Amino acid sequence: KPETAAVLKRTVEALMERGAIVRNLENLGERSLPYKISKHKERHRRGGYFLIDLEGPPSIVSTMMDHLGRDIDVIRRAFIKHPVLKTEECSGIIPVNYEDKLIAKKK
Amino acid sequence: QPIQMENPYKEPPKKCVLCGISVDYKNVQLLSQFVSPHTGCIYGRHITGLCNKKQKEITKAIKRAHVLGFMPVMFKDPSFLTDPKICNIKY
Repeated sequence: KPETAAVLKRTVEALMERGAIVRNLENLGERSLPYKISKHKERHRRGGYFLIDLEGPPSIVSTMMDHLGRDIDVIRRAFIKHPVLKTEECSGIIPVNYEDKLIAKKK
Repeated sequence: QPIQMENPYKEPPKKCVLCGISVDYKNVQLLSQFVSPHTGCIYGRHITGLCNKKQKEITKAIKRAHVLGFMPVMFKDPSFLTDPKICNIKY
């Protein structure tokens, strides 16, 4: 457990160095991986999942991926955009008129 | 004289199963409900019965979960096998 804390500390410090603002750090629990991942000459079966809320310049993405790739304790790294929450306008299934579509395509 | 107006007996458009639920790559249980338990392949639109947007979102989320190590690829997670059936499939 102190190792995971050290890894997180390292990554967060590296992020702050490059000028990123860390908003939140979530622990998604430690579970057994869905498939055995071999990374850095070792086959891993269990892992801890962490999610870091980031705000920063896009130029740090490549440098951070490099940095995390060199870290032995990091199995898989990824940068994902913030999901835009906008699911209140879901109008149901609009019936599609296939005949019109076919005629339009034939032309 | 008949007045021109919109059909007053029109039913509201049918909603798909996920209408109003935000899809996230992290909730593996929801994603696993649209995956085959034997092979782990994603069901098509004719089986799930989802609207265009939601089907696309689900496929993208499943692929992302595969890559990031949240969801198994070749099979369905055994703890989610007893989930209620959403898809229109007969085993």
